[in-house]
Amino acid sequence: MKKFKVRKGNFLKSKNSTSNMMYNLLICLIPFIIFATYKNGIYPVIKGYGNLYLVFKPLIFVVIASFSCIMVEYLYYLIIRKERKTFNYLFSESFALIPGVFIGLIIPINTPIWLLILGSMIASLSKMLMGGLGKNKLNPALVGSLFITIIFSSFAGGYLNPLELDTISSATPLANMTASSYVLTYDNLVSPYGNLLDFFFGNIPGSIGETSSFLCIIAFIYLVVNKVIKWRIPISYIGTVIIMSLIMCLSKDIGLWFIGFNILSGGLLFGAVFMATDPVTTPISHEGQIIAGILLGLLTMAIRYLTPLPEGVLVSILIVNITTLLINYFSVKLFSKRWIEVGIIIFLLLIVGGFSFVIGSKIHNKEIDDSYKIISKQKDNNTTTYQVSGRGYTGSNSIKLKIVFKEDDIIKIEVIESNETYMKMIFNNDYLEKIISNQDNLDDLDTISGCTYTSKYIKEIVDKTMKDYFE
Amino acid sequence: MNKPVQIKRDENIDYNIQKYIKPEYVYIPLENKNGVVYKHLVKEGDYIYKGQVVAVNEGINFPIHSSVSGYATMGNNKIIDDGKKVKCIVIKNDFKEKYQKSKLSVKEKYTKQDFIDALRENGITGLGGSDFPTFLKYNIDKPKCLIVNAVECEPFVSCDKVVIHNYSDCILEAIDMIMEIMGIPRAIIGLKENNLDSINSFKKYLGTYPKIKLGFVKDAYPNGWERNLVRELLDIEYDKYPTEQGIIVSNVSTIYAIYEMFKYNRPLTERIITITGTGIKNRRNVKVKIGATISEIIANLDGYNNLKNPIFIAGGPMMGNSLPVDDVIITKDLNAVLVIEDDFEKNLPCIKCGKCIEVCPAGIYPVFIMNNGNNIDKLKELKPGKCIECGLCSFICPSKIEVREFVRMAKVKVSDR
Repeated sequence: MKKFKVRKGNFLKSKNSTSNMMYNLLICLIPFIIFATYKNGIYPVIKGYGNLYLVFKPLIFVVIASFSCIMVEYLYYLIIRKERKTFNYLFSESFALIPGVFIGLIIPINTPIWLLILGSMIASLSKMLMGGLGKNKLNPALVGSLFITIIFSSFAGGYLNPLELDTISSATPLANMTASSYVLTYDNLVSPYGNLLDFFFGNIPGSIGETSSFLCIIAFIYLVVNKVIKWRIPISYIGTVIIMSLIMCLSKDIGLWFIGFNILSGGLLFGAVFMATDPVTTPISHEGQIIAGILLGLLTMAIRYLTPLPEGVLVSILIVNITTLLINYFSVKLFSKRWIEVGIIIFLLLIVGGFSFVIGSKIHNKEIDDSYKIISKQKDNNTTTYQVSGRGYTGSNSIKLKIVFKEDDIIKIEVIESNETYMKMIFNNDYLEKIISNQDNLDDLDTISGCTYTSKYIKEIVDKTMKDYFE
Repeated sequence: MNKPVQIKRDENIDYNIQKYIKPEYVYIPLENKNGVVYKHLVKEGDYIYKGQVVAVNEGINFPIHSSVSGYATMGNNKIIDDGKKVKCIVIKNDFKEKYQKSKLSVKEKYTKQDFIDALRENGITGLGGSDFPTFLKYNIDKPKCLIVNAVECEPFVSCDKVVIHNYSDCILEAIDMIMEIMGIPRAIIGLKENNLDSINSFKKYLGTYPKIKLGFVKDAYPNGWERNLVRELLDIEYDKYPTEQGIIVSNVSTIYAIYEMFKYNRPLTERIITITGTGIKNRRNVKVKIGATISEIIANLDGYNNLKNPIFIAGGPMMGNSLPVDDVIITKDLNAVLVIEDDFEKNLPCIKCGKCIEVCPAGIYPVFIMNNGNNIDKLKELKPGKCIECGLCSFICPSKIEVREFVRMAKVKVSDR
């Protein structure tokens, strides 16, 4: 008779393991770090907008944030739990660096290093204080980056790297949309950044590494094939945003490009693929995951269009993290009555539909222009001098022009007063002279990149004045 | 419904059956793993013939037979395949294999009632692992279909495949006889679609049996589960037992046992079990006496390999039980013994990935059951009783948590109240 060790459980284990899942996640993030290095570093440096430090800044951010997270966990175990943990444990069993890597990719490139370290520490602390791996209720990376965003909003500078600050019209697409009072035209939302392909490949202003939707889609496929993420959440999230955008498109007569704009901006895909699928903080049951996805879509759109906050992805994922507790509770309660959950999903979809119309009532499909005003009009022999004011990029009546007509032509345009940030570029580009020489076919005159809006508005004011003159 | 899970592994099956049917002692447990208690009918010192009824389940008048002849002693406790220590009748084998004369007459023709009585009298139970008396299954009116379960989805276990390889003609003959006696219009043999050897073994003789068809299922676990098999082959759902829908599901080894019953009209006293795993020197399928002990058989099979931390498993790797000693009685439902190294990764905290929900063939929520282990009200909502203990949740768990053990505990807790 031989004695054996007794082991409870089954005796065949699948190859997939929690550490494999986490490594797969990290593998997926490598292209994003490379992309971030290109977009925020290499490209601006080639264009002459920075130094070598900028090239390595994204990588430095990721490394510093990860290191801070690991240190916090190490110290937490050492001081509070009185356990000395090895690096190997922190890396492959507690996955301490994951929140750090994410934070390094979803914050603005201008974040000061001290704030980055502080944010990473808060992220890790939030995870450890809620019980460590598997017990945290909120996505640590989002807690950290929310902290950074709140503090950072009091700093000047915005999201952008020097190239973006200088060449494109100065704000992320969604901030730009909020600033332009929700006038949802292609010219307003997409043109300043190129076209939707630029949105797709991530060539738009935004956080360090989250702008490339193209990489997000590839990562999504990789993660689903390798069974790492809860795919139902991103699918229903993006589906909801598509449905809402479509209803808004149809009811307000906006082009279908608007759907693409909504999905491809604001780091939505990055949030949907990586943050909203974090296993620990999202619902477990299939129906629960779909409900969470719909809620995410609803909240994101509501925050984007109904609140002054431009970027809704981060906050809506955190809110859904909280509702996860509730969703899981109901998954248990309604286990044998799953038709109720299906009912909830249908109910939510109805709300999605209704809500689209609510948001639809807040947006405009064309420019509202009520600020154009003729201040004075003087006739003197064959010359007529107009003083007009109109809407500029920084608000209504921010541009005041003096336009002089002689017989059938404009002979002079002068800026009397302006609040425009980039008016200097107008003079540098001799834009006013260009308007005079192209006055017969103003539509063909291109705007100036870098101060697209100001140039466009000046052109419009001139155009309206000409109409008045020739009547 | 969740899809079954593919568990890949290459198996080299040795189709030769080694016989080891001369155990020194035979133990007849007086309780089975389902908790059924048998009343013993013999006294210490009695001479017992081979095939003699030594104990009986009084509720359904279901007998257990001795598999050898010899003198009885009483009162030894031994463990059976689920690790339970039970009282046994011990018979010291005199190697004479003496039958009682009257038992040897072979019947030419069976009526349905004769057949069911014969199944009962000869102690035929499901050899697939349920230990459910077969005569109860066949005792239904107007059966529509007979499904022969030859899927054998547990990895490593190959005894059914070996039975098919060696006795496919006998199995087909038995199926044909059963269909004629019972008036069953059709029969389907359920096989894994990639189990070419078994398929070819049947195809060799299938031509003469137009009413018997082969049905294929994917090579995935747990497709050998009755419910999955019936769904895959016939697209029929049932509540508790397939007999509600007029479907009889029998394991292929059980069919072979029925064949031997037809041929020799003697009780079920032998079966084939798989003895395998890295800890076993000579891995093969062995024909053994029911009631013999595994330790004796492995000793006769060149013994064990040296492993650091060997564990001894009665049953397959997914549903088997780890036992503290190898001194285990072979019961009718024991289809395999596995000795492997205990090199399992240690577990991490649950990350709530929901993979156990995704694979559970019973459609329950293992992770919720695990996390609400102490809340009886919630446990009741989650219906742990539906669990078939297939072990897929423990298999798939990326954190290597033994999820099934939590569900098992919950099952007990809920049924206690």
